[in-house]
Amino acid sequence: MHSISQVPEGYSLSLSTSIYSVEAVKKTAYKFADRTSIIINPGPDSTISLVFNFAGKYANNDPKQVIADFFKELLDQDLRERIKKETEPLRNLILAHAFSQTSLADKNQS
Amino acid sequence: MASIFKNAESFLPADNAYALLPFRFVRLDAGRYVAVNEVGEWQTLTRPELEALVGKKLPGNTPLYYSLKSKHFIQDANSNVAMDLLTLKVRTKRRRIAEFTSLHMFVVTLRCNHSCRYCQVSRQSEDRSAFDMTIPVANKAIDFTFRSPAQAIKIEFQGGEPLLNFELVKHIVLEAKKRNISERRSLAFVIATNLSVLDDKVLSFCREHDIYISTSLDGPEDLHNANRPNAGNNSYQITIGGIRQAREALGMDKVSALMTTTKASLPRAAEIVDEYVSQGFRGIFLRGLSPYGFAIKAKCFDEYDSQQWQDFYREGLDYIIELNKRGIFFAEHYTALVLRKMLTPYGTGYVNLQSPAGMGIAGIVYNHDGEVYPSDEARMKAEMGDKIFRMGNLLTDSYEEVMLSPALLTPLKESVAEAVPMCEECAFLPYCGSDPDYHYATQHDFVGHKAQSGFCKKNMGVFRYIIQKMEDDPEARRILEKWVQW
Repeated sequence: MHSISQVPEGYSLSLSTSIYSVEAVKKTAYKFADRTSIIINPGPDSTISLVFNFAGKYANNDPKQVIADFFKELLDQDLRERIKKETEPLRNLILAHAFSQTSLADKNQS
Repeated sequence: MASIFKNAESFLPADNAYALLPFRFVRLDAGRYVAVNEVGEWQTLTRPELEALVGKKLPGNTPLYYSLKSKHFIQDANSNVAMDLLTLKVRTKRRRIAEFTSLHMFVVTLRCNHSCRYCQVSRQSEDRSAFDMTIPVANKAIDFTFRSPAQAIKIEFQGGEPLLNFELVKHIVLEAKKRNISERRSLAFVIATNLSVLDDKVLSFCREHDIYISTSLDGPEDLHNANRPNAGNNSYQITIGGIRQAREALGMDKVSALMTTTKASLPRAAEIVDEYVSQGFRGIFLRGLSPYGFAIKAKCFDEYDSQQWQDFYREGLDYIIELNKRGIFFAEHYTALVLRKMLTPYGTGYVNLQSPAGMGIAGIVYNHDGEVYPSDEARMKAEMGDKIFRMGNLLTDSYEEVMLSPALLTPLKESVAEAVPMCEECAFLPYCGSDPDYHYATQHDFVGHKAQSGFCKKNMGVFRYIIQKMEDDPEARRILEKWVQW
């Protein structure tokens, strides 16, 4: 991660996509929609740039706190991705098996 | 003699030799996370423990390892039953979906003699019989009721004030019971009434047909009367008198009450609970305002936010737990519903905590004019001029046309929480629901952006607080466990 810099639109920083997936960054940004507006753009050399905007209804939020919390949540998203990668096939199997023996499953579908 | 059992050491896992089973996690508070599996079993963890779990570095032969294994968060070579047990529990949790619709709400009249400023039900003045349900509409509604696959059927009479059209209530009860001789369902009746026109004739009929009474009691006299004015009359005294009269005629267990939280209620949680205790109730539902009907028109809904309601709920729950510690059995019903999801393999019939949403599946509304809506909230929207949830009309549409209406299926399909951003990864998903009515009312979208959803904030707060109570206060845990209905 590069250092955070102040720009006219708010606070800007770049992230390496070799550390965090774009998906994890997007999910985190979505979750922070009540605290800041985040613009995600492609950057050079496997990086993405993020701009945190605190205008309008976000004006009373503390940018440093929001950005610190953003990175805590980003770490959580990263961990969630690892869990999902390992367990998603099992979840699908459990659900498929559970519903296969009920009238909820469409028996005409293979 | 050779033992047929392996020795104890054989059951010790080889370190790091476990596989993860599906679970989700969320921060519980500053120092803890809570992980929840597909069926609602939970485990609190520190961040290092969570990372060790996911990184397969959790040592075997520790209480945490065995706890995670017994709750089906992990499986190792010593046991292969976790997948089968999880499957069985998922199927049990979802059993209700196949048995839709159990709650059938008959709006027998829109007339009402109260003018509650927060009323989410759109009402008409008492003397306008144009707003009464007719017998042909009622008969069609009974037809629809028995088309539902649900084995347990509850018919709830709503209004307005349903007792202002008591002759129709009688007709529906008698006709439904007649049909049920061949249908053989488990059939129950509830009248949601303000009790102001209760008389011996009504009570005698209720006693004869085993009908429950549900009323509104908002708290102490001044608060109740401020919230629920009844022109020139003392609404509180009428309610208390009616509760006493109904209990004497029907029995204590046949009369229940609901409260609604207004801005004036917020600093008075303990007083409201005390009122319920003093009136002999064994529990209370600390219910927030809904963004529908007159609650929007009178701007009541915006008078407090979800954080203020959470503070009120926490204060109320703490007080109720203290009462229990002093030997007074008293429950908070919303907490009890959530606990059933947390502590048992069963779901609940509570409409707002379902995925797929409870609208149409858990409950359905037959309006006085034959219009069919998937929820009371949807009916309110229609009365305010937005008929987006109108499923059809009893007099012109078939059961199939109504139940397969896009007005029902579109919000159901779009809002399945397992496929909604933020919900799909939320640890509290097994306890929560999607509530498209609420999100349409507040964000004009069936799904809603959950970061900006009062429904999400409110329920996340409730789930966190219940788990914290269960984890941090062993005596509170024992009390809360007693509230769970199996």
